Amino acid sequence: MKKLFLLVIALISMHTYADQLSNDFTISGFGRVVGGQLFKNDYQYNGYTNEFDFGQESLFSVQIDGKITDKISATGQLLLHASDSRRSGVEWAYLSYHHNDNLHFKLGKLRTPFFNYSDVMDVGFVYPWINPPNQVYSEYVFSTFEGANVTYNVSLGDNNYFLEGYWGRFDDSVFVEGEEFNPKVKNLRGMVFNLERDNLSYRLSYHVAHVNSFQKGIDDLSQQLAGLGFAKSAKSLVSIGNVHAVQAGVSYHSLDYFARAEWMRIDSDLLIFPETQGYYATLGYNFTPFAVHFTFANHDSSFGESVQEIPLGIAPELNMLSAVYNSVFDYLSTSDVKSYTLGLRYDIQTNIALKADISWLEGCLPEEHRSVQPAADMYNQAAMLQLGVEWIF
Amino acid sequence: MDILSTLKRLTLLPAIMLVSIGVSASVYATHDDVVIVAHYQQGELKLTKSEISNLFMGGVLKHGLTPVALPPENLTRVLFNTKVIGLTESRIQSYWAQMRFSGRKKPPQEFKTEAELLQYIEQTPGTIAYLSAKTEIPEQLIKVYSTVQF
Repeated sequence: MKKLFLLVIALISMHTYADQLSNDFTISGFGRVVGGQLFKNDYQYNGYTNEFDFGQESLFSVQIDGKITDKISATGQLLLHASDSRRSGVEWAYLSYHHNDNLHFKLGKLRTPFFNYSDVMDVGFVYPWINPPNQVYSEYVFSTFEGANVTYNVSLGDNNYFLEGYWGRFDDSVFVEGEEFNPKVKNLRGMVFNLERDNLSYRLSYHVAHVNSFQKGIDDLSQQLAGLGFAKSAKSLVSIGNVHAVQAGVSYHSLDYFARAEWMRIDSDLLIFPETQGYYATLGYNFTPFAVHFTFANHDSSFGESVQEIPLGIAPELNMLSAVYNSVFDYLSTSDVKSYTLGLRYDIQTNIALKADISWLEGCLPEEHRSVQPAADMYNQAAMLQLGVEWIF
Repeated sequence: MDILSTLKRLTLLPAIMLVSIGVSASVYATHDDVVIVAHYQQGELKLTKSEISNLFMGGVLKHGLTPVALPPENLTRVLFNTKVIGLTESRIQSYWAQMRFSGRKKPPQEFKTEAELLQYIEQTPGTIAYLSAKTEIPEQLIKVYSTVQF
């Protein structure tokens, strides 16, 4: 029913175009219907299994911009998801203050600008693929936060500079390697630097957050270990601390070709956050109204190692404690996947695009019905097909 | 013909050449060319291709000029995209969608026809727009860039 409802609104919205109701009030929006299939039984990738499904990433959104005074405006974005694992509702809502053409401030519920497309992940129309490569745009980044940001935009000679700083908090669930967590994120802050020159654009950013991923069972175990003097073991189960992310990206666009590459690294001392490095490189060729592109993406993550300081063979209680401690690490598994994607985009109208991506995946694909976590050295290969229609209005 | 009059004619030559170049600029302007004009009252102004490209893609120049545009299906816009911006319409639409839905900037205001666009910039100081090179430029507007080769 939800999918049908979405499809109906979707079709209606395709025939309207950015509506300027008056100079002070604008309604715009975007939508996508995306389907896909992973050609391998018993495994899943990005929510796709060996059964064609278009419910995972299909969505529809309306954005309303209203002018309050010459310098202050309000924006709200309502998002409807077909997927059951994401909540529909107000995705962002903020007040902005235009000090002048160069300097802007925003306050409210905002999107987190971790990577180049992080703040427009849902707007499939803006990027060439059906999904930005999962190896960089994995899910455990916080898509929105409550806080403030400031942007400064200036052109000097042939260069256009864009600087952004933000600060805020996040208190909602996130997915780490497919598992849901409810971390408390305070002091989330970051800096983004963008330079555009001719058809080249560079982006550098740094982000840091104080994360509390408290889980009672693990915290109890940690306290017990500390009480018995196994300080290193206790510390390896830490659930509160800083997570740092650094990103670098470059993109090039011309009438005939486009290329983009992005790299990111996430570091943390927290047990549930693996140290992660991901990157992709895309090359594309335009033959209007079509564009064809090829992408290679890779991901490398590792959790902290368990510490072997509990003596074995002295007392059965210690043997037991050691076994429980080690089993925590057995449940931490990474899913490093390498991918090769060939994609086609067809702009049938200035605001509607059709896309088809075929990917070859190699690495630790998660099992479809996960009762036991896959072992870290499990290696699989699979092909995946995705089809989509994207539009803006 | 004496040497003196020959010399006189020779000195006239550069002047004749300059005049003919001046004529050729508009003669050679074909339907494939665009000019970028501004309603700018603080004296002379010439912009580079990169500066114009930046301005129409959301950059902020110190001159405080506000760009205005034509709709995507307009031929002059297609020429402007090809010869000045150097991007496909698809890329331009994607870029503005990214800017709009991340709340960063909005695309230039669009006018349905060149006549409406011209009328608006004539009446609005501080605006800049692209027009077909064949357009007769009104007095209060200045040409800041042209794709015409001569």
